[in-house]
Parts: sequence; C-alpha cells; structure tokens
Amino acid sequence: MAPALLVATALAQIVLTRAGPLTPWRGGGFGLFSSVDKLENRILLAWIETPEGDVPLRLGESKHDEQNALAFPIDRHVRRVAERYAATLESGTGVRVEVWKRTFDPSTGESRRVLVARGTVPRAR
Amino acid sequence: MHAKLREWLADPVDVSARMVFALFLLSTWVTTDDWTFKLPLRVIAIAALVLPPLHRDPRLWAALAAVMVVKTLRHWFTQDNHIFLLTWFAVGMALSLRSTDPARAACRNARRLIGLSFLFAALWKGPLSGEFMNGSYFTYTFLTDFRFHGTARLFAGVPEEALQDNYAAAYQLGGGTADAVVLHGLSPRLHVVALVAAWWTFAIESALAIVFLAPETWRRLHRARHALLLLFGATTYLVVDIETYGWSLMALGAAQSEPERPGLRALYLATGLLILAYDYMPLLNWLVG
Repeated sequence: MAPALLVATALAQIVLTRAGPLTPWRGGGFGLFSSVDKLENRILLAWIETPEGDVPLRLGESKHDEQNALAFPIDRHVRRVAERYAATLESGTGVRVEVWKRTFDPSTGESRRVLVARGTVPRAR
Repeated sequence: MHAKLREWLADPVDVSARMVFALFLLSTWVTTDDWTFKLPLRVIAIAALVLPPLHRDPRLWAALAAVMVVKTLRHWFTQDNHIFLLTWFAVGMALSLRSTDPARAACRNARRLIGLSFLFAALWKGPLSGEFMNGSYFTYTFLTDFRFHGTARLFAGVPEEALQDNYAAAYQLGGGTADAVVLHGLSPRLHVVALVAAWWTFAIESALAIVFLAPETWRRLHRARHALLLLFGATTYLVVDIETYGWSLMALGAAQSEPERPGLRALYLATGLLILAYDYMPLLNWLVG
C-alpha cells in the first residue's frame, strides 16, 4: 500500500505541474533540485487598488495561505490571500495579488520574473 | 561493548525505527512548529525511544502514520518530498508490523519506497525538466543559492563578489523592484561543472532506481543497492545540506538491509551521522575560506 500511495501522489504531482501551476519542487513528486522554479524562488506581490492608482501592499510574515498560493497558485489559493488582506483594508477599492516565478537564460545570465497567477478581490465593506 | 553493539544492530526494524523516531524527536523541520502536529509527533517519538519494544508496535506506527497523513493533507502543496516519504514509510511500517513476517514486509516496503522515490527524482531531472540536463538549473543554483556557496567557489571558481552581487540581484527580483536581473559569474568552467553535476546526479539517481526496483533474483544488481545508496548519502549531502532527507534515506536503507548483515546497518547509521556532520560543519565553505 505504501508504494502505491507514493506512486499515486507522484503521478498526481506530475499532472498538477503540467496542467496547473504547481512548482515541481513540491506536491510529493520528487521534482526537487530539477528546476529553477522552486517555491522559495516564487514571488508574491500585492497592491491596494485605488482610483488614483495602485499602491504596493507590504506583506506580513508568510503564512500557510501565502505558501499555498506560492506553491500552487490556483484561483482559490490566490483569492484567499487577497481576501485576507482585503478584509483589513481601510481605504482603496480592492486588493490585487500576483504570483510570479523566475526563469533563467544560461547563455546571457538573465533571470526574469514571469507572471503565473493574479487575483483581485474588492474591499470588504 | 562489541557484543552490545552487535545486539543493537541485529534487527533491521529496530535500527530503522530508532533512526526514524530520533528524527521526529530532534527535527522541527520534520514535525513543524505547529503544536497540533509537533506535540503528538514528539510524544510518539519519546514513547518509542524510551519504552522499547514500543518502537516496533504497529499501533504506535499507526498513530504516527495517522498524524503524518493529516499533516500531509494540510500541507500537501508546501511540504518537502521527504516528509511525504516518511509519511508513506510510517503507513508501510504500521501494516508491515502486523504481518506474519514483519521484518521481510518492512524490508520490501522500504526498498520499493527508496526505488520509487529515485525513479521519480530521475524522471524529473531527465525527461520532465527542460532545464536540468543542459546544466541550466545548476548554473542558476550555483550563482544564486547560498547553500551551494562553497561548491560554486571551490569547484566552479565563481568569484565571491559575483556571488554577493547575485544574492542582492535575486533579492531585488524577489521584491518586485526589477523585472529582470543579470547574474554575474558565468564562465566556461561553471558551465562544465554544472553539466557534470547534472549528469552525475541523473546517473546516480537512475542507477539507484534500477538497483532498488530490480527483482531480488537479479542478485548482483540487488546487492549493489547498499553501496550505491551509501555512496549517494556520503557524497550528495556534502554539497546539499538537507540533512533530514539524507538521514531519512539512511533510516529506510537500514530497514531494507538483510537481517544477517548488521555491518550494513552500522554503515547506514554511520553515513547518517556523517550527513549530520556535514550540516553542522560546512566543510566546503571552510575550504574556500
């Protein structure tokens, strides 16, 4: 049974990285040390949306929800983070949260951030 | 003393179980700081270590497996791969220790778990990743990952200033203040070292998958698995300081050793301790000053 659990988990992880935004390093598929796109290299950014423009939101300590949004930024995970911040907002119209991953070109040495997911939630009233 | 040590090493399940429970007792990385998991895991580990033969009681392993399964479900997308491996091992031990031949069942389980974990690791580095075999992953890692600082300096000759610039650039990219940064320290030597590291890793992980998943009737291949796993443990974790992963592999290695070969279990334990020593003493960083 234990080997079957490992195989089922690893196959599911491959599907979630291919068809979804899961980082290859996580999800129990043993993809660690195979890709630049590891959890710690992903970037979580947030903005308060206002009629005058977007204001960067200073993120607090990375907690379970943030880690989930970074590792597997499906709409539900990203929105959960945005909703948490939106609930504490005193001004602005809403919160936008983005998850980025890094890429690397070994011929030029350029490392670039690439958008993986974005979620916007209106301010709670 | 010698007789006592032989007695301690006599049973694969005993040695492996003690190594696993010691890990749960000592490593917060494995238990996490969340008290809802840390507390029961530490209680189970202490009970197993101070109240033998509780360490081979299937009910205790079932309790460990239950806590680990809940923890795994909660942290599915964020927890490390070896925590999954330990979870499945605990499930396997809980079932194996109920069987008519616990040692043989535990051995078979551990062997398959090790083989499968290396099979998927090799699949990821080979066909599934488009950036591993061409050296791209290791080039980036040597240039930006402080855990590979010693390796980057010693083997790839990356200057200290370049690494410090790269750490700052990577931080800048992470803060969202830049869309792209250029990393310093690229060189033909770094490219060669990255390629060697990639191909060596792919080769040894593929070989480990083959020897651990080969049928027992393929005797020479089957017996080679111990030497290969010990070599992997002794070399890999000198460069990569994830001692809990290395220790877990050595614990599983002990579980699948032949009962008549206590010397192998001594080697798995010694290699586990060596892996801890690598972590406590950053040897490569000392070498480059």
